[in-house]
Amino acid sequence: MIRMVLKSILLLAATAIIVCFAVVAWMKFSPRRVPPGQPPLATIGAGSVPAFKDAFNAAEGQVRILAMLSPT
Amino acid sequence: MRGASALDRLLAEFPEAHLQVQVVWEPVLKSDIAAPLSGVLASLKDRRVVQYWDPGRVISADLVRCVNETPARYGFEEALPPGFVAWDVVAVFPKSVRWERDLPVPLQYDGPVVNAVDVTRKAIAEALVGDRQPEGSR
Repeated sequence: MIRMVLKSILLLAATAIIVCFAVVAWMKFSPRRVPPGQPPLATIGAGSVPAFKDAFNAAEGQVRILAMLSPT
Repeated sequence: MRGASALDRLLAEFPEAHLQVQVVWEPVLKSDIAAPLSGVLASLKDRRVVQYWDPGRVISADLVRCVNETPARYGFEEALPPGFVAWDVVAVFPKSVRWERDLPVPLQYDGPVVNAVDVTRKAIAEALVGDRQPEGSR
């Protein structure tokens, strides 16, 4: 009886771990799609700040809006 | 998410305006373990929006550097505290400014975004009409 309970707990724990890994993997690696008409999501790194500023400056003559947001 | 939706609704109030909107998503909360999912990105539907994922928060760091070098220029009385992250904030810039080394002074900035809709709307409307320069920008 105890063995069966232990086995069930282990099975449950293993399933929970697998599900957690699957969710994290899905969150990390699932494709990101932006709405139609927008350029693809760009990732910013330490070296791409100048490109970000260039994009800002490329729209000189237009009103520009910058928003900083968190995904969750 | 609420901030993004609020910003999208605000942009929809200016359908014909020549606006460029850069939205930077960055990890701030413990749950921000990856780039925003498609469902989150979809909260900003406006075609004038360009969305970025900034895992290292380098844009925030650059903004904080600018403010801390000359706080008064950006309307701060003192430098921001160490580790400060610029997030849940929206800024409006006039038509003629350029972003060289330092961030140009915005016409308006405020946050949280969801609470900044009214002042942002006013700033966009003013910026579209003329090219009013913010104080301290010259």
